[in-house]
Amino acid sequence: MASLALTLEFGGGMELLFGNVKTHKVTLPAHLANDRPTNIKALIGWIRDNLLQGKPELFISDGTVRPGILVLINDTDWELEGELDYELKDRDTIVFISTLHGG
Amino acid sequence: MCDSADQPAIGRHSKRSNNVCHKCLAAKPTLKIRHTYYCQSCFLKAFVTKVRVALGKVLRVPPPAKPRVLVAISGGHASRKVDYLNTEKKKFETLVACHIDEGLLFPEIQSNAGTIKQWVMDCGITYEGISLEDVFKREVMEEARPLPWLCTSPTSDPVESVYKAVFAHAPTLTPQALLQQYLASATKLSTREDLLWHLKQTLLHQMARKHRCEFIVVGDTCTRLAVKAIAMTSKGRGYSLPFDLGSGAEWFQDVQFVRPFRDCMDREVVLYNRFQGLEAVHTPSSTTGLPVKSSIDRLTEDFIKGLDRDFPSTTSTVVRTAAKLKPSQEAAQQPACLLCRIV
Repeated sequence: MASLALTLEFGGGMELLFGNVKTHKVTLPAHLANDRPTNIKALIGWIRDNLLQGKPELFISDGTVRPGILVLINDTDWELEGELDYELKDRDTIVFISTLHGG
Repeated sequence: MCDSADQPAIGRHSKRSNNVCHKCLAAKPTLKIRHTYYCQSCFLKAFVTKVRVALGKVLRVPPPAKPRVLVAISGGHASRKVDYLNTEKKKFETLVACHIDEGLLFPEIQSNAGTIKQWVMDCGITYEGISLEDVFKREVMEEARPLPWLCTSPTSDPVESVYKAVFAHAPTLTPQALLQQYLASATKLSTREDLLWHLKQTLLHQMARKHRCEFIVVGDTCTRLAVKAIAMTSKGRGYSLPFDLGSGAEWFQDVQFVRPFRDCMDREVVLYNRFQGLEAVHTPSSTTGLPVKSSIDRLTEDFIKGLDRDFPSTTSTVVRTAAKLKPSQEAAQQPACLLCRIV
C-alpha cells in the first residue's frame, strides 16, 4: 500500500501540545479507508489521534484547526491550496503556527 | 443582442486572476492578505515598505535633533524582526531594546532572556534587560525621574508618593514577594492580565525615561489592537481607548508609543518571519494552554481570530473605528491614577 512521507512543523507555542518537539517526520497511508486520497482534513484527525499530547480543543475546533492557527503547505498559505480538501503528496511539509497571544 | 459573457466585470477586483500574484502579475501566489494575492517576494517587499512607512510617519523630531527610541521586545513574532530598526540606526540618536523578563510568573518555563539578548546584540543594538518585579524597586523609580504623572498631590514628591502608596504596609518585602502578593490579590484571570499589562506599560515608561527616549516602539499588530479594543470596551474601559491604543502623547509630553505593525495582521508578521527564517521564542501568557473562556482577553482573541478568518477586513475596521476616538481636552489636565495612569 502506497504511503506518504510528510514533515510536520509546529511553532508559535504549538510545540507545547506535541511534547515540545517542533518537527515531526511521519508516514501516512496515501489513501483513506474509503479509497479516497488522504487530505489535510484526514491529517488533522490523524495528528489528533497519534501526535497530540495536549487538550484537543487547543488544536481542533469544528473539524478544522482552531482560529488563530496558521497552516502552510510547502510554504504556501493553505487557503490557496484548498484548505481541508488539499490532497497530500509525498514529501510535503505542513506547518502549523499559532498566532495566538501566549501560544 | 448582448452576450452575457461580454458583460463588463462588476466590482473593483473582479477582473484580477487568482492564479498569479496581484503585484508582479507573473509569479505563482503563495498567500492572500485580505483580498490580495501575493507571491513570496512581493509580500516581503510590501511588508517591509509598510513597516518603514508607518515608522517614518511617526519617528520625527525637529532637525537637527534625531529621535531617541526604546524598542520593547517580548521575543514573540512581532518583536523578532528587531533588525528593521538597526538598518536605519544612523537616523536615531539613541536606540535601546528593552526586554521585560516575566520568569518569576512562569517558573516552569525556561527563561528566554538569554536568547533575546543575543538577537539584540547580534543587531548591534543596546540591550536593557529588566525583570517584571523591578517595577517595585526604588532605584528603578529613581532612575525614571521625572514622573510628573505619579504625584498624588501637586506638591508631593512623585517617588515618595508611590512609595507611600505601595510599600507603606510592607516595608520589608522583596520586590519578588511584592509582585507575587500584588498579583495574588487578583482573583480573576482577566484582572491579573490587566494588572500585568499595566505593570509592563509602567516599566516601559520608566525605562524610556531612564534612557531619555521620547519614543517607545511596541509590536502591537492590527489583530492585537482589535482584541484590546473589544476586550477593554467589554471591561468598561472603552473611555480610555485613545490612551491605551493610541500614542499617549496627549498624556505624557515626554514619551509616546509607536506601533509600526498597526496596519499588519498577526499572520502577516508570522509569515514574514517564516519566509525570512526568523524563529520567534515562545512567550507564555497567563492563559497559555487554558480554555477559550478563561479570560475576557482570551475569549475576545478567539472571537477576533474567527472573524479574521471569515471576514478578513473586519479586524482593521475595528482598529480604524477605535482610532477615531479622541480624548477630551480637559482629560489631560486632570491628575492621573497611580496604577493605570488614566484620569
